[in-house]
Amino acid sequence: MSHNVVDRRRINGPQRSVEPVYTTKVLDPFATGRLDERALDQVRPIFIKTGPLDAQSLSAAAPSGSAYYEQGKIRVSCAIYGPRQGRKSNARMGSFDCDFKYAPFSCSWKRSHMKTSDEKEIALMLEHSIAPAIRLESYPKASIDAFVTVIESDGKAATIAAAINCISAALADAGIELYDSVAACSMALHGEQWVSDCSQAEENASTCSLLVARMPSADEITYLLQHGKTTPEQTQQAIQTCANDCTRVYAVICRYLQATLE
Amino acid sequence: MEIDEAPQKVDIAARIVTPGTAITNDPAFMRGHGTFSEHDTIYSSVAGVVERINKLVSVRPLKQRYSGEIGDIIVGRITEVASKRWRVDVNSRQDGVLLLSSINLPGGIQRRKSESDELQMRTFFAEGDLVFAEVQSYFADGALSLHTRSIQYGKLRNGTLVTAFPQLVPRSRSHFHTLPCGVDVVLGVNGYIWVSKHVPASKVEANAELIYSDKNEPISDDEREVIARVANCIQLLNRMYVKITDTSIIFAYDASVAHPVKDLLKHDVAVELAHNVMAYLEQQG
Repeated sequence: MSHNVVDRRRINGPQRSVEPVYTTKVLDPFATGRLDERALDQVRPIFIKTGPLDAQSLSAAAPSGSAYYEQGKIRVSCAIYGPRQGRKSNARMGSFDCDFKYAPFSCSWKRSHMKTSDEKEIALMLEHSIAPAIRLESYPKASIDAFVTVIESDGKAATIAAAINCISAALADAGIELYDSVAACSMALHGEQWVSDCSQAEENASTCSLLVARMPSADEITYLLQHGKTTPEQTQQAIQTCANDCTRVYAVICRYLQATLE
Repeated sequence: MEIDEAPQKVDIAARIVTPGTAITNDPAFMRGHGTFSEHDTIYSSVAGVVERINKLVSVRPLKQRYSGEIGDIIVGRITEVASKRWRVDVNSRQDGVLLLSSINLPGGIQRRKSESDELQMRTFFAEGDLVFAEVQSYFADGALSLHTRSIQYGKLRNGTLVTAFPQLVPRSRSHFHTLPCGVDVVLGVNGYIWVSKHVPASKVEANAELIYSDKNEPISDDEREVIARVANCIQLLNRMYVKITDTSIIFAYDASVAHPVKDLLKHDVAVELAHNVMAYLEQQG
């Protein structure tokens, strides 16, 4: 056995190994303004339609209200069932339940048909953000169910905000008593700059995201969610800007609802 | 937030509002359906049209679930057999209740319901059966209590159910109609409408067992087609948001004869027929 016997059966690696060269340039979606040439504080254009699912069915299985919502590339639909007899037979207040599903083709990767844990989490977030706006005390023993389907998503926080707006429009379509419609808006922090309503690419490049759901007429925030690290001042500033964006989104929803009634 | 500066001068009625819109801050007004008040201001809680009757302000939404009134004639579906009662889906905020004590026994025997009646409740109404009933009273929580203590009420058979918007079915003197085309229609004010083959009342009266029967009469193909045509006519009136009464159904039926039954719900045919019906109803006043 000498030292210069070479193992010929296996493919041997080179004697010397070197570290790969990483590109130092990170792809920056904000390098030259925003990808879709929006202003930093501009929300993507919104399209709403209520009642797309209502006349589909002859039977009692038709929902009592529905809505379709687009914001840029985000497409969300929502069906409201109820108020109908709830499972708890002696509840003094009505209950609001939400079901959230990403369509398998809605993201850049294939989503599962089964409900995943993050979808359950988002469903809970939607319940928490919408329930304070519903006058549940006027619906004893009843339950109201919302079924949200994301047809196309573009930015996680923005998609959740779109889902909230879609449910609001569908609830109004169903004639359910509300204290106020809930409008939601998202932001992301890029460097030192807050950017409104980020797409997926923009969100990936950001360090922090913030979601605000708000009842603009009542001036109350129903849900606030932040991912990432900021200073208190930055958060404060973002909440303020987001609240203003919510008011603008709210105006769009209200204007649409008024137009449908005319 | 917008608040009327001078509510006395501005007519608040006929305004279109969305949830959370301030309607008035004048303390003289009382809040009605579809509104709530906070800090002496009345806000709307639904999207709809503001209506004012004297000092009562309410908002009427385009769509709403049925809310019952005593004396309403409705069609419901049994969802559950409970102790001494049936739960009935009445297209409302919560299920209605049909007590065992508020049904007629076969043959119209008048007596207190015994334990043996309780045990054979499913022979009267089982889950999924459709009932034709009247609203007798409310329970404390707002649930409707129904009764079927009349020969015309009871189990529905020989036909098909059509669901419509409750607000399109007005309350009227009679909700049971035998149309000239030989079809019986039960217009439930809760929006459930039963279209069935005409069976003379004398036949049911003669045979007491027939009230709770689950068997259909023999229905010929021609009768089935007429039932389907009437059902589609009601469905198209519903889609085009036209009031559903015996007159509007009869007129829609007569106008629809030129088209095959399956074409009635096609958009252009439905629009044409609905316009004819609306023009006719206007003519009638």
